[in-house]
Amino acid sequence: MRQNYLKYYRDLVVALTQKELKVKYKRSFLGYFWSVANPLALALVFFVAFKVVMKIQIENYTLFLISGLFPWQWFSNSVNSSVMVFVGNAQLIKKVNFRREVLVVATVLNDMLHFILSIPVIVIFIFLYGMKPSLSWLIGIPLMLIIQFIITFGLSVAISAINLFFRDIERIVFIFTTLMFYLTPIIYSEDMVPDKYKPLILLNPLSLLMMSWRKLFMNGTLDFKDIALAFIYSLIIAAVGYIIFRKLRWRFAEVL
Amino acid sequence: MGYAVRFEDVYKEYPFYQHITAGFKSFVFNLPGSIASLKKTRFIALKGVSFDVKKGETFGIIGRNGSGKSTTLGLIAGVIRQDRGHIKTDGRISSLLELGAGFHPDLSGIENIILNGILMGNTREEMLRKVDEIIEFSELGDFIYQPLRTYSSGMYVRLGFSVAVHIDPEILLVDEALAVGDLNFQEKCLGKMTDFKKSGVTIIMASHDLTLITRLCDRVAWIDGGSIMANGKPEEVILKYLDSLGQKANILSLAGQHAETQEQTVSAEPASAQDGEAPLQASGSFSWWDSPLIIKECETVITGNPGGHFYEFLRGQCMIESLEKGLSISNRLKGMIKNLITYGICKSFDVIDGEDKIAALQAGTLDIKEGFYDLFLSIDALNRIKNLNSFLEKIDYALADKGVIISLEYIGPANFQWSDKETEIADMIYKSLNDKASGLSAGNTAGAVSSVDVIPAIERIFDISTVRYFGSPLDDLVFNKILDRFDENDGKDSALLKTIIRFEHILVKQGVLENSYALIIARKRSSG
Repeated sequence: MRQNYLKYYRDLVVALTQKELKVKYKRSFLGYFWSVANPLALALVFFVAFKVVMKIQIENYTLFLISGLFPWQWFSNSVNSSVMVFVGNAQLIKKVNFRREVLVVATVLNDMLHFILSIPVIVIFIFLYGMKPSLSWLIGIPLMLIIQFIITFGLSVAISAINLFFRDIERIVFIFTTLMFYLTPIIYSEDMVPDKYKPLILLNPLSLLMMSWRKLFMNGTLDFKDIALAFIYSLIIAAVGYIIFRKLRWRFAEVL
Repeated sequence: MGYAVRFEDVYKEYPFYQHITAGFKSFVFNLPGSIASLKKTRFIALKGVSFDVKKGETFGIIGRNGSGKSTTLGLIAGVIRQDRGHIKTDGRISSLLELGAGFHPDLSGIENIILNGILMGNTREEMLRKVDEIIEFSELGDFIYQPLRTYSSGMYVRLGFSVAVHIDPEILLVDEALAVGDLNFQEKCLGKMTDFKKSGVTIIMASHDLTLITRLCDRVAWIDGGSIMANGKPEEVILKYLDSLGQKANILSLAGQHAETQEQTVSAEPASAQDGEAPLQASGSFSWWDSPLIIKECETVITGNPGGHFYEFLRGQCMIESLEKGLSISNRLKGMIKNLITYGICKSFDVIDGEDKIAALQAGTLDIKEGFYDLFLSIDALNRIKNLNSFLEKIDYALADKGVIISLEYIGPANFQWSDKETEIADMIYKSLNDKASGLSAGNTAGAVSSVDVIPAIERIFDISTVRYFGSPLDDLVFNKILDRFDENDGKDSALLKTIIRFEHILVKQGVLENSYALIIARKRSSG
């Protein structure tokens, strides 16, 4: 019975994620290319702005950029699209009884898959800069994936639920993710943050995440202190997010 | 435990969400007011509802819009939760609440089948096993590989239904879902429901379609204002419900109208007189026929504006695959018979409405092929013909052993007049037939001819395979046309009208009202 249960949820998540993927690329020619094109284009813009124009003092700046930008895209895409997850599936929620959070899981997983598919691009740049992927990726990448998944899910599930009641959340989330992007050391390095603000970085779980990703990709190192802290944050965010979701869950069908 | 669903004193209320969904700003700026109004202005959907549904039972829920039907189904489905009381369900629930909920237009039929099935609680493996059966049932053919956006709405619904009924439910929830699609598809749905019923699936349905409810349900609950008003045998509960709507007088005046339209008033309501139910006597003068809108609609129908509902209605009522051949003596039905031909349902329907044709009919020179025929008899017409037996013999004689459809009935409001020309033709037909009939007449010339008398008469000439009675299919035709207009503007009125008509059918079925129509599918006995 319990095994069936697990199997069922696995199928449900897989089916929904597949659906997202299929729908996304069904009518496009270049398919996978687009999942990489967007962050690459962004990287190009930042490269021109910061490296060419402002002459920022960071080595291997392109690699530096994309190793933070790609995981960030996962996070921000998930959070932004989760806003409409329940609203967009109104029919389903009003009529069919299933675990609603699965819809959010599928959204976050879908963006995670895109991120995973973009890792080869990072690898190409690593070779271009004359470096090599590290064996530590084998532990590091799955570990980081899990932590970022938990954070992203926790935030998304709360946002998606609240948005049913306050549609303004959609705007707020967009502003929030844009602000957070610049407040997180992605286009700049954490060393460039003035000393008196440095402790603040530790308060931002996303900083910890992006810094860890970058260290992993560029140096092949894992900073377990940062990762542990990020993990604690992720659990707190997920717990709070899920509690909010649970509180509102039974009202979904009523407001839609 | 024996119960599939058990409600114990279930209480459900909804806050008025517009205070919050209207926007964050207005909520925050009126925070105290918003919270107060959230607590104060609540809509009570169910107040202390208790009922049981036994396993294998088919349970109907009726009531006006907003009475709590959908809330009840939603609670059973588990998409909302009660505020007080207990709900117990036992068994896998499948809902036909919304066919195709969760379908994605960019995915193919097959992909949607799998996804939808999994959403409804199946594993992928189970769905892969069932997918062929579902495709077959849906009759979508190669379309199953096309994305759903290329589907017609009928195909969409067909797919939705096919998935919903193939996931082996133990408790099936139905919420007007059968009211979608064409009547042909509705019949298929009904067939499947009957199968479910036979195989012991518990069915709980909320519907305005009282005919459907009586046809399928073992027990019915009537909900009004969030409370159960009655719970018991379908006919009893429905009568109480209709009584509460204050429609009984209207239905009976409708019956009265039928009587008035018969110039040689013979027996408009013999059955209601026989029946013990005294309160069912005609009373009141109001009739929905008198509504200007309906008069207008009748005119539209009468002038032959293509509608197509007539055919669909016939299909639905008669459960026949196709009308093979037919003949109609008619001066009013021309437009609708044409529709039958347009739909490709009958190839040799002939409307005898011109003087030439009538002459041919009288002379017995009308050429009709042999085979199956649909005898369309209206009581209205039959009542004008004093002796049906001889009439039928006469018809038989006139048509040289061929089948016939006789359909000459009044449609329209009480004050509606046929044109002189049409009256003339009608009278001519009757007169000529009557003249011939009186020669052979041996029976009851003064009495009423009810459809009950029709059968033995026909049996002498035809092998009868199917007999269906209805109040008046033309009522439904007109009525369906009105519904098309009404639904957009006023759901309540159309539901009301629908209810009246459906109830008429129930009464006909119970023998309270006289049939005004019978369709008999018969094969002509080989002469000799």
